[in-house]
Amino acid sequence: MAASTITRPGRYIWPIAPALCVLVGILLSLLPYGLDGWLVSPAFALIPLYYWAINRPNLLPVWLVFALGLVQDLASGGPLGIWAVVFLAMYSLTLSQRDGLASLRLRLAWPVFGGLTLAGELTGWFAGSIYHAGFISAGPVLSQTLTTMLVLPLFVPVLIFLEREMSAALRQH
Amino acid sequence: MREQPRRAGQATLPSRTPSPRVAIFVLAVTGFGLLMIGRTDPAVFEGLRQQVLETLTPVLEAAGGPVRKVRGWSHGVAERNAAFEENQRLKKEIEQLRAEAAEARNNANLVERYRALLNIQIDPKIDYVTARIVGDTGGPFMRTFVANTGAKDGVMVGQGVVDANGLVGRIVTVGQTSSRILLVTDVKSRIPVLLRPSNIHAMLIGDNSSEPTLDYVPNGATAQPGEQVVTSGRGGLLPPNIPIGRVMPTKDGGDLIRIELASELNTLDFVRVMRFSEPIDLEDTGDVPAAVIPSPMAQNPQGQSPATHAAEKTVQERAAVALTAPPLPAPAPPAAGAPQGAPAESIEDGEDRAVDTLTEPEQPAPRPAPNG
Repeated sequence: MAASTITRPGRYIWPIAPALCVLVGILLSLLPYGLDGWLVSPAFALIPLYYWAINRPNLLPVWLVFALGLVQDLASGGPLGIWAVVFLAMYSLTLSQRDGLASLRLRLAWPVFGGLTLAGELTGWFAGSIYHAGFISAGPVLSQTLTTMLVLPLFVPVLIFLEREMSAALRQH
Repeated sequence: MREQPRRAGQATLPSRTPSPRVAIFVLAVTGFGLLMIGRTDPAVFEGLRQQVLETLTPVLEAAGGPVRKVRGWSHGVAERNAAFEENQRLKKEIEQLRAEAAEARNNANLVERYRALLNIQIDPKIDYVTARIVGDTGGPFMRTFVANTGAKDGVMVGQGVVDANGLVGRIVTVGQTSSRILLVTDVKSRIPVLLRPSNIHAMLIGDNSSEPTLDYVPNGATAQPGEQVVTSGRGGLLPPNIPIGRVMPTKDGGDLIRIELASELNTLDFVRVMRFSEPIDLEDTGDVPAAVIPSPMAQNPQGQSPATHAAEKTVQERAAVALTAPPLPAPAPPAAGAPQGAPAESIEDGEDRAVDTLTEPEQPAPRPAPNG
């Protein structure tokens, strides 16, 4: 087939697309949205993490998830390790329920995602409390879980589109 | 193998997926280990953080443009709705402020005269550098912002950051062209403060909520709701009298005192970094703070330290003046919401600080001849 003799940049980019999605999520979470009062900006990176952990875990291995968590820690300026354990918790819980999650429609996947996000954030809250040798406020954790849940439907169509393109591109090789 | 049609979002699961449980466990332990290392020595990863900050800031500036535009639109819509009432309120406030401004000008003239009489020198006005907030790098575990100004503009770690309403936080990481601001609401934030008018010293402690708490209030002292909270200047990290907020009523009679901040941290756009550093040539003579520190003088022939000699001289000269000069009037409070460019003056604190100046210039100005 002629296509197989042509170098396709997508062949090298698609395998790292899940990691790039998480990186984009990290960048989005750092922007100043100016949310009022008790609202905290969404943890955008958890959305592609959840999606790709279900659909393409082989392209998002656990060590890469940990490294991406460290990237978020360095970018946010907080203690190194907090977001790494949040990412690990979210990833491992999603992976453990992958068979059931894979067949869920969005209206059911939405609250499940909220629960997994809350579990991940509470892991970070626990790690943060250990770091500060005292319980930190849990309000911002709950707030971020809520805002992250609210923006999930905006990103799912994009991720589904990316996965379809990826599947088509990788099948050709 | 014929591919089965699948619903959107449905995974095509590989037949075998290796279990990463061991890897997850090891990495989780590594993550907690990194946390403990960072807790023991917070500076160990600082170089790496600075590098990431420097790399990230231009990206955040570029990516944040559309976000700021949308924010501006949404704020514009909300503000238009409230514009009429705000207009009415502002008209009343202008009239009131005009009267207060006239009084403040008179008081300022009076203060200048008395300063000249008492020969008090003040620190040069604090220098500011304006910066824009390009990143909200905090989250549920920390409260920090990124500003697009850094070491090349003279920004240093520890410097305070203010907006039009009051203290926002202080600089904790500095790159060449960017810096990170630790907000007063962050759980790591500790700010020595002073309550007005009770003059109670306390500590403002963040807890990642939007209303930081007040702690280390002296025994027997009570913070009253509505009292103004300003920086005390203790520790020398921040200049004194920078407004922070007001004491809130305690909830359900509890002990926790929370502060309503003067600044709207969620809507920050432009801020100012105070390029302030405490004068370094002051000899500590006890709990009386100095108002001015010129360069150290050579020791006098009596072998006294410059500060002690100057203090004695000041006391003697002022004693002579006090016998003939009229008593000082009550001090004028600083304008609300305006960061002070000079450290606390003895007159502004409302206490008798006439003997608090510990040093004098080498050539003191001649005293005015007493009248009558």
